[in-house]
Amino acid sequence: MGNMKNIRMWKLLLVAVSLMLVLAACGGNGGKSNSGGGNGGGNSQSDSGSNGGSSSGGDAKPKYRIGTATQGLSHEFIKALVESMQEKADELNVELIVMDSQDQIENQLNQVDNLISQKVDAIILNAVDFVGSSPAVERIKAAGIPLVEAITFTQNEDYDVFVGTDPEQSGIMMGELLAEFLDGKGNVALLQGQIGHSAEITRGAGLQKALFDKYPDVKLITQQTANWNRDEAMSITEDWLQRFPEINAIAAQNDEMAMGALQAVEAAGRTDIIVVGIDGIPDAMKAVKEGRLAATVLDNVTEEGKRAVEVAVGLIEGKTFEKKELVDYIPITKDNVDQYYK
Amino acid sequence: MSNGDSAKPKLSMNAAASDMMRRYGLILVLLLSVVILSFISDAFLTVNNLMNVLRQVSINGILAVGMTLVILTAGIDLSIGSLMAVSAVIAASIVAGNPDAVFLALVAGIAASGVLGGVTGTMSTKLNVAPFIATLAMMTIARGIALIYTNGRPITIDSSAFRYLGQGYIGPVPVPVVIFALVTAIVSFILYKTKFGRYIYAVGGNENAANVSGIRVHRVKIWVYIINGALSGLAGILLASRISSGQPNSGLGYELDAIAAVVIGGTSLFGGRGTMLGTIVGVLIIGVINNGLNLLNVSSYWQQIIKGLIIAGAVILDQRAKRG
Repeated sequence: MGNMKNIRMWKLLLVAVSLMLVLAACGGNGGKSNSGGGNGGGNSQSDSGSNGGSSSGGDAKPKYRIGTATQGLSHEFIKALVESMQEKADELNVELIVMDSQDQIENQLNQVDNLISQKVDAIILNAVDFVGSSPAVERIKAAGIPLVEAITFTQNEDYDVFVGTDPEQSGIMMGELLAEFLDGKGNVALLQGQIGHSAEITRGAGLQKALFDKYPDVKLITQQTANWNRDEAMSITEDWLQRFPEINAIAAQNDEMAMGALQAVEAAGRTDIIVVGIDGIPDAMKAVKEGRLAATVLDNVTEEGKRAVEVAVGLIEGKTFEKKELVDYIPITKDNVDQYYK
Repeated sequence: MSNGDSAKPKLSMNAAASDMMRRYGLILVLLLSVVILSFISDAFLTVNNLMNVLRQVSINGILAVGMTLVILTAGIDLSIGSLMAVSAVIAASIVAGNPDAVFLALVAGIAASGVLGGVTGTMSTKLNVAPFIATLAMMTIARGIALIYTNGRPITIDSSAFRYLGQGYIGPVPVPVVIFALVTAIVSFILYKTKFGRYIYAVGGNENAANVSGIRVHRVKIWVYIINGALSGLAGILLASRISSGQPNSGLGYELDAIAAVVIGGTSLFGGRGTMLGTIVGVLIIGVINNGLNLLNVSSYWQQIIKGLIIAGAVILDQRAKRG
């Protein structure tokens, strides 16, 4: 009857599955983010042991294992964050396990469960969602694992340390830069981000405090939202140049909008207008170097990545830190742009 | 292919025998995977991790249970991901206004996706549109409905009562696992102990014969799509509850995992053959392998390839068995 064929059939399935699992065990290294230089050499290490595929930069066995659950590596910013974390991890001889949630809350929750099951020594959480990622915090703390939150934070504040920036600071720095450029006097137009977004609120507050409140001769003559977009910013600026020829400076709450404004300003030949942005994206850094954009405020993601790993290791070793380890933004002008933009 | 033993009366015995072999074969595959994984990774065989696996497969499991019914009738449903989203956003919007209205949210969400399932069912029967096309259309329409309903933005879920569904525990067991078990039990009962269940097999096995013998084929199919829709709605609510957010873009791609589980579990895409137990084993195999690969830190990109290969393998084996 059909028995022979059927026995063969599930034998085939068994073999296939076993093959795949063995392949996976050997290929486990493929899952790691690029480690500094040790990628090729790391393969032959403790393969079938309980570590399962690890790649650390050196040949000594790593001191600790730190898991990081991130947003999406497809974002430049997050990619830079993870790279700097990996650099620091290699330096400290620590193994870094990177989980990319591809911006999906469910993936992040599953990945955190995973890291907990793997009994990592510490976890660095780059939360996908303020509310959605909170259950992960509960579980991590219930398992007694030190938790560092990086860049974004969660509604559940039981993390040990937050490493990131003070959102208002970027607005304050932008205000100080403008005050300097305008010599304490002038007309400023403000391009806002999406209204209600936390960065729009905090950067706006910072700018108000450091510029308009302190320098009564600097006037805010108009403001409008360009929703963080370059093209919206460009058309609004074109409009403004018609209606408000007396503008001396344009402050934009992010670099994308600043670049849009810059294009409009240059097209109208108004090179007297000072344009300042925030973020430090490559386009903006280049424009500062070329003397077109007056200044931007750099979010020092490299420093944040390194600090996160340092703090995580410190927590494992029993050190204590402030609840919030804030990394400063860096004001970038023509004078110092070369340090940060190659 | 072997030989001349293919006389008609023996066919049903062969089919039963090969179904049994396939069923036990699958369980063996599952056990083998578990054994291999527990050797490779010592994080695998812990209560904590196994509960994680069960919780992680619950949503796909509920979808697969519904999909089994659909595939048994020789149909397919590509719209379940979008139905999940519709249900999720409706339920989320209800508890946003009234955090305790969990029951209402459940009813509304499940009813909405059940109705949409009925629409697909009608399209693929009375309007004679092939299920693949009908559900493909519903996939995009329902997604559009979810996006319009929410203006494209997710609805945060603060209600702890609602969140309990996806995040809570009953003893050591996560709530979604309990719900999955209940759903499996109820649908299995319908499939094996009721006339309706037998009609499902009949319609899938030979639609003309079923029709001729007095079974109301269209009605059976429409109800199957309604049930499947409702179960998708339940799964969507569980997902929303787990991530604390009713997202119009949730459920994207979930239909693939559901179909994979059903196919691996031995249900034939041609209809009429398959078991609920097979589907459950299929769900578990996918879950265990996913979990194992995660614990070994295999990148998710490789995991997709591996999963695809397993599905292809299972379908090929299914076709060869059917021809025998």
